[in-house]
Amino acid sequence: MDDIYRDEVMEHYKNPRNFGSLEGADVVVEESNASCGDEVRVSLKLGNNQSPSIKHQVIKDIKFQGQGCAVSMAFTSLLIERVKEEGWGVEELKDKSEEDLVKLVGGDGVSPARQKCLRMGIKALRKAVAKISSNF
Amino acid sequence: MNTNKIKADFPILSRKINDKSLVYLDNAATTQKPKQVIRAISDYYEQHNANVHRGIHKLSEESTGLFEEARKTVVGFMGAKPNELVWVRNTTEAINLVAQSWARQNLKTGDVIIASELEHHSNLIPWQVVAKETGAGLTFVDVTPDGQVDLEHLEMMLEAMKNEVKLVALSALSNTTGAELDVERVVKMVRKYAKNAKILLDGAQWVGRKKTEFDRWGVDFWAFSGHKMYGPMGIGGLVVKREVLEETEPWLTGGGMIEEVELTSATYTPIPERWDAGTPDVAGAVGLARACVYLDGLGMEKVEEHERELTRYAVGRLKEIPEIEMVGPVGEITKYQAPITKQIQNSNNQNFKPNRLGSVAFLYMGVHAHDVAQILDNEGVAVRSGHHCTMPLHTKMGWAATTRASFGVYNTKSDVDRLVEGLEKVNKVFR
Repeated sequence: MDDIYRDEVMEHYKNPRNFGSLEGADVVVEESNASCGDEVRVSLKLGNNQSPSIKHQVIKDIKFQGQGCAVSMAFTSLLIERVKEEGWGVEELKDKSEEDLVKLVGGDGVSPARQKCLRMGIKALRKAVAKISSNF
Repeated sequence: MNTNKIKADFPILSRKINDKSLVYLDNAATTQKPKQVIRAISDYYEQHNANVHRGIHKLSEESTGLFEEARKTVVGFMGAKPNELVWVRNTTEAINLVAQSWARQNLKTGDVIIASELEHHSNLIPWQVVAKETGAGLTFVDVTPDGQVDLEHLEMMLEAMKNEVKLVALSALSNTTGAELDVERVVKMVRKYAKNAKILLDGAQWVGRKKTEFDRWGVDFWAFSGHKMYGPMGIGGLVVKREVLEETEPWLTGGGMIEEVELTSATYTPIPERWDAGTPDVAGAVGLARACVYLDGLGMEKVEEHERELTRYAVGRLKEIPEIEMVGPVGEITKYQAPITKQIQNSNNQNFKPNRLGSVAFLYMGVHAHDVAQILDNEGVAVRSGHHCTMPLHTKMGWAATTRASFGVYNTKSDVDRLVEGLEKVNKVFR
């Protein structure tokens, strides 16, 4: 349990970063866990880049909105914060597996029963990236 | 009831969870098994295992004898006759059996099935399928704001559709709100208006908590699981009124249910063997019978009283926590009662007898049910969180997910106190 409700996670739950909608987003995706009533919406905006190549696409901003348990909300907030810190472009982010992103947020120790909560934001972000990538 | 003695019968209860003694409050999902049941199963496999019937050897005779004895014990416990029981895996299979056999054979366009909005998915989806296949309509009795099947609404429906209603399928005890159905009133009502209707009750939550009186009630189908009444997983039953069972074609055919077989036709044995196609779960039946003997030893009246007292105590303790809003009946019951808070105040009344048994589900303001359950688990308290297989009810009531504590014969008031202490931890982590 210490992994799940460690101070950093609770802090993100109480004060989520990058929370809200993104004006002029290039992609908006939703993900939900119907059985828990949890849902998240991730918006992603690309940098102002006219290049037709995916290689040159930078991510300008990511935001999320949603409701759900502490695990699903806090880890989504952590995820977006860390992805932005890494400064990954679309292609780099596209190469990251779900497991890579679990590691990025330090979610390895989360119990099997809470994996769905942990991964909801991750799935949403990967969906957003996949959707953007399909345009190139 | 001597709960210390009862606790000693359940080996698993001496386990430590996160270095704390286990408080098991997930009995509505499944109960733990006493050593008497575990022993009966291992004794069967160690001493008597052989396929039943048709075997002219000692072990087969013993196994057959134990299997038949188990049937007698289980039907006795349910207040039914030996030829009224069909073995199944669980309540879900029991209800699907009715859907796939009786309902398919008897329902048609223009007929109506009545269920309620609080049904477990296992007493809902089979009817969705049947309705689609047969063209029969499927309609729902309202649930009152405090989580009970609205019997006045049921009466209106029955009166309005007296010729069309062919099946009334209701939960005898709600796994979510803990609300008890007034079985005798329902039977009376259905028989008064809808003379052609059958009554199916989901007895999953009832069988381990209250006496079942199948023949005296006069219902047509009673579905239950062994594992929710201290028996093993994988065995349960459908009790069916004799004449209904006789008139229905079995859904499973094959070995064990035939008299004479030719290449293109076969004749079947009489009931109940006609419904026993295939090698049965003999050890499961033996274990379930032992569970019935165990419960009879405690006395079902005593068991009910114990569950009622614990439920009442839990409702009282949980109302002390301002962040908690209980779902389901929490006060003196009058239809469409005042707001929840009013009911909770009423529960200070000495005569307070909530129309609920066995389960207390609740919302914790600002904290998701999964987080509540996780923190309780860390304290060694096992509860369930989520929608408890009643998604439509959760949707109607606007509950994303609830946390549910549910009781068994081994639980005590100090277990409820441990729950309350655990809930105080929730407050610490989340404030």
